[in-house]
Amino acid sequence: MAAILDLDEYVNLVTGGSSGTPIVINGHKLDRVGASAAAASIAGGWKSMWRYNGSPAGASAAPGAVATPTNATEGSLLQADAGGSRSKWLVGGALSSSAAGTFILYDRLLHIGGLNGTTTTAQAVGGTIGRYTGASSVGNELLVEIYTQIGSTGTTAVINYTDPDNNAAATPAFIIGGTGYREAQTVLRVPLAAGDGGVRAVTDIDLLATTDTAGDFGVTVIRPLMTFGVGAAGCSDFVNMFLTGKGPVELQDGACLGWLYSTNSTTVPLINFQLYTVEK
Amino acid sequence: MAISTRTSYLTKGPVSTVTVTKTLASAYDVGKCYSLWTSAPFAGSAPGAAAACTASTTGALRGMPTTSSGSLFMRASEVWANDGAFTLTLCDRLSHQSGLDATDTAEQTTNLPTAALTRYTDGVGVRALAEVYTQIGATARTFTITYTDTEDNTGVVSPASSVFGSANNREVARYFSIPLAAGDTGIKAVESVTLSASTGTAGNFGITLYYPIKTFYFSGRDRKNLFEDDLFTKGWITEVKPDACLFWLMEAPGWAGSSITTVQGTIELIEG
Repeated sequence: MAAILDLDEYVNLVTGGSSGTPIVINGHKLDRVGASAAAASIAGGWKSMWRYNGSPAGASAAPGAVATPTNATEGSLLQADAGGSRSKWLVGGALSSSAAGTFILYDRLLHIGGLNGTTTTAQAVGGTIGRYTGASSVGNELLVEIYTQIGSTGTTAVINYTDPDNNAAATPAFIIGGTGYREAQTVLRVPLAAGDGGVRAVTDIDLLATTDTAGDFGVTVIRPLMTFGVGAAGCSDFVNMFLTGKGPVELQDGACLGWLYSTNSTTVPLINFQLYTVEK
Repeated sequence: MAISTRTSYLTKGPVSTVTVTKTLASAYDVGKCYSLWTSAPFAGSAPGAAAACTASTTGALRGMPTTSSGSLFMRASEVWANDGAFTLTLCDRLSHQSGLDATDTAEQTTNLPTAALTRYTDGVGVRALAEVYTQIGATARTFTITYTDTEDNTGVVSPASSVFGSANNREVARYFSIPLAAGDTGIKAVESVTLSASTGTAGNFGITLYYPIKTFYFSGRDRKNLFEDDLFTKGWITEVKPDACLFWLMEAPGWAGSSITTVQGTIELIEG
């Protein structure tokens, strides 16, 4: 990895000099999953755009067995790795939305699906996080992601994981199931144990009681990269490392980019986005 | 050709200034997406037969150089509107056609396939949209397309679009982004369009291939003027291809009281 030394070098890289390879990742997401409408947003809650139709496409199916997603995984933004021995830097971007909300661009590090909303014994996760490993796992976040609606009976769950210091840990109990916590494409952002700032590995998830519908849900580990805030429908936000102090952010080789969002209504947003990358 | 230093970026004389003035439709729906292709002055029209677009195509924003001795970059933009809280995206219109029927449920190939790309010819990052030229029907439907992807695979079927037809989704100048199939990063050509069912009114709509260039964001009702130095405002120096057919896409304000009718301004271009 080589740092961008100064503004002159940045101008040169961004205009294509010195193998800067400036690329704009242009994309959009629609309010549909396959042939069907996406499930309604939840005011104040979080949703995953992992399966939303768009450009590039959303994932055509929920994850199955535990896997380490990459930039070749269906549903990712499919950006190329940096060439040669260079690093790829995300230096800014713009996002517009048909609904107000907060949008998080993340690197999807691990995912599993096929978990059962009626199983009350520990359901194994396992697998290997492929990026931001070991001590660099500080900043990795745990999600529960609903792929097919689970039950209407609210309960709680705990996720057992390994923290960045390689200690076994357990999350506090969090709500799963019931209105606002069961719908397809809903994301539950899981709090970590006191003192922990990341996730190195995931062992299992254990529901206290059945939600009464099996559905299909999973556990996902992400690394949040950049946040956009859109104040009203039809508006935009942009991230600029000079003015907003956000970035540059390294896009590691194999980064599997995806979007989460939260709105203050039930409207599913249609978004257009541009992400600016250079290599050094 | 790259620009080597900040000083060079700041001191180069502009090779051209593009005028971006457009008069918007007086009525638009909250948060919906509109193409300003048919907005005056120098309004474009429904293309009819498939055609590649250039800086000389009627409807393109004026002032774009047709050739360049080096790469063209945006340096300074001054854009203002008479009201705020909306988004404009400057795009390069690459190829278009029209004459599609919003009641025809068969696979439609009228005026298709789209004309070959003359810019961004590898198709990477090229997007497609459906654009309404004459109002379509009141019944909500969806559509799919078949297209040629960046690997030259033909007949690739897209996932379903968002709602097409019905109130607020049928009006003149509305546009609908078209999603890609899994694994694809762009489009080289569109071959056909298939509706899920009739919208109830034939109207006239068409397919446009385009490349998004830059987003302009009017952040609030009092934010009507944007002066942007590309490098320091966006942290990016935007490249524009010579002979680009520049046009605006708009995401309408999210509140019904907005009265945007005019967008005006200029964009300065320099050569690398």
